[in-house]
Amino acid sequence: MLEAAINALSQIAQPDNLAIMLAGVCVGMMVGIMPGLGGTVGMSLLLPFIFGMETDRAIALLIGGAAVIHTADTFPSVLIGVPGSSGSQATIMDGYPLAKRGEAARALGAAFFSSMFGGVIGAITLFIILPIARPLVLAFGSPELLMLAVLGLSMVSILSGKLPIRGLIVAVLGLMIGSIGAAPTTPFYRFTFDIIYLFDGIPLAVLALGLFALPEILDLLVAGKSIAEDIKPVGYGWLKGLRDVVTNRALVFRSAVLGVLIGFIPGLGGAVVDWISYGIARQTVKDGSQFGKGDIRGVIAPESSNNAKEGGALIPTLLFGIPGSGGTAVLLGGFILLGIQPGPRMLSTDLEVTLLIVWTLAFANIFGTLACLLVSGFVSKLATIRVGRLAPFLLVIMLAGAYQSTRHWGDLLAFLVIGLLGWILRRLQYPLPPLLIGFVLAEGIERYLWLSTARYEWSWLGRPGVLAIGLITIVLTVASIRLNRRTTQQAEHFTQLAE
Amino acid sequence: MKQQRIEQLVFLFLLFALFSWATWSAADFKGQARTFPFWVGTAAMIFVSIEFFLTLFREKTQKADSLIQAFVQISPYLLWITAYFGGIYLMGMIVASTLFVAFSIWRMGEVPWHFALIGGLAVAFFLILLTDVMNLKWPPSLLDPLSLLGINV
Repeated sequence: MLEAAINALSQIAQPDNLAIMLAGVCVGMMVGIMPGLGGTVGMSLLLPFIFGMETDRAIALLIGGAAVIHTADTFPSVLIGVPGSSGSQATIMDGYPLAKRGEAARALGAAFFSSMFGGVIGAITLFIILPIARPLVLAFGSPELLMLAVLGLSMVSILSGKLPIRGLIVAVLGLMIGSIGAAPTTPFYRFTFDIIYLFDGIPLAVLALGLFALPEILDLLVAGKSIAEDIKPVGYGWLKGLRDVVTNRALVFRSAVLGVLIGFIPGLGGAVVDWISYGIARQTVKDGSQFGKGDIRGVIAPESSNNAKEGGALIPTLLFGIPGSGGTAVLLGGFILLGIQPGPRMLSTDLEVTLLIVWTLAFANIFGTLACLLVSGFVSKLATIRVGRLAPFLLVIMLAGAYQSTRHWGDLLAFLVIGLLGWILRRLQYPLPPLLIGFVLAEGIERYLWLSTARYEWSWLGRPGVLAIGLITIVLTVASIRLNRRTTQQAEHFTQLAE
Repeated sequence: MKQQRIEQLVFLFLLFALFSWATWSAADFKGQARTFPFWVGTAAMIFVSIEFFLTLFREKTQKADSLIQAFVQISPYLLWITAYFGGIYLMGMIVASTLFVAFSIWRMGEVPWHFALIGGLAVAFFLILLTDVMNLKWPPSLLDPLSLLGINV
């Protein structure tokens, strides 16, 4: 494993790969800065550009983008009091009051450095988990892999918030869209209407871009003006922020470990990790009375955990093929496009690829932090650009990306149709990530179900591994829904207190 | 009955019709190709039916604009995007994107025309760069203004 790790390091250290990772970091940073454009949109924007790329470069681009979004999303949270993504909501509680007091640079500095340490701890944890998980994952057959896909699908109930049935409807819609094209088990084309474009199914990049990016742009355009109008000056005080991180190193570490653990549970991570971390920090630190009024520890805790979460979230994604969120679903789809099959192979034949991902995650967090520090003054002004000036550029990038999926006019038309569907679903309060998860898991579920029944008939249902994963699915679903509900109540309580 | 509730119910009815059709079609698929879409469609019909009754009797409805009102608001932008598609079909990706960006940021972004032109040209440069470096391809078009100008991309 050590040899594979050194090989992976030498691969990522090549100037070409570093340059591509920096490009991913830049895109991730831009997406993080724009309130409303979360990790899924960022991944969707990057995904089409990996077609035809070598595996190491594509991983550098994708992971580079994914790793830094939760570093850059601190800008809007601190400077304008609006979350850059779902993982940076708790940062507002103390980051924005600090900015109003003229300590924006200190808050941003503390946030960036704690994000960096959190991200690196997440990558290290991922590295440590690999040899431990290896024998377990290698023992899995198709019935267990099918159950793991079902476990991934069960996370839909958590991602659906207060309307779980709507989440299920959208997830089965995703499964149905995923079944368009050639059946994976037999040479037969389904729901194609004899349209050649549909023979290979809807490309993931087109679906993800249409579903998440286009509705976002349309709603921003209708809202008009700029994304943020009142932005606080950044000023100076980065080093003070760094000193805060060093002083509170135990809190950084504790929050990072918590982030990894929460990230490991599919479906739970993104929206709640920052609030859980914030709540625990508030209850466990000495004199938490200043939390919500501009306590730097209220910035450090959520920022450390939301970056560490990425490392934790990659464990089920890579080892079991379970995407826990829209962003990891796109990432998983990207791996499949590259010919990387998440699952047991990630620890045997594709071990070097897995380690490449670990290294990229660690480097991208460090580069992302440095990039955020370097360009913060200029970049923070991006959020004040009128949407009417930004949207045309974004639309060109989206269409350019969507067209690379199959290089067919159908990509552009499908992008528009899916975008409209996504907009309608969003308007009618249907959650979108379950659709993407259903779509990504559709082929795996169908294939593993066929393999399992063909080989074991229905006796596979009694296999110990299947029963164990089934039990885990039930326990995790119930526990996650309860935890999610409690965290939502806690978040509402904190927000009310702040108001 | 509130407008939003009616819209929700109509949407659920359409979804039910879609899933019914998909399940019906799946029943005619050959062998193994049938199982997955058939059961997924059946499950979908059950979920949609449950949600239909829940929506019918749900006391609170979320505060939001009506879908039709919101659609009216986004329709100019949808037309704007459709016009861009038309431009791509007619003039190709690079020329259409240049004109689209320049015109859009001039009209919608209220940028002075010379800055808008620079924005458009920057997009053209970016796309040509992508074509060259990443070997990207663009949709075929009826006309090819770039080759008329002697530029081969």
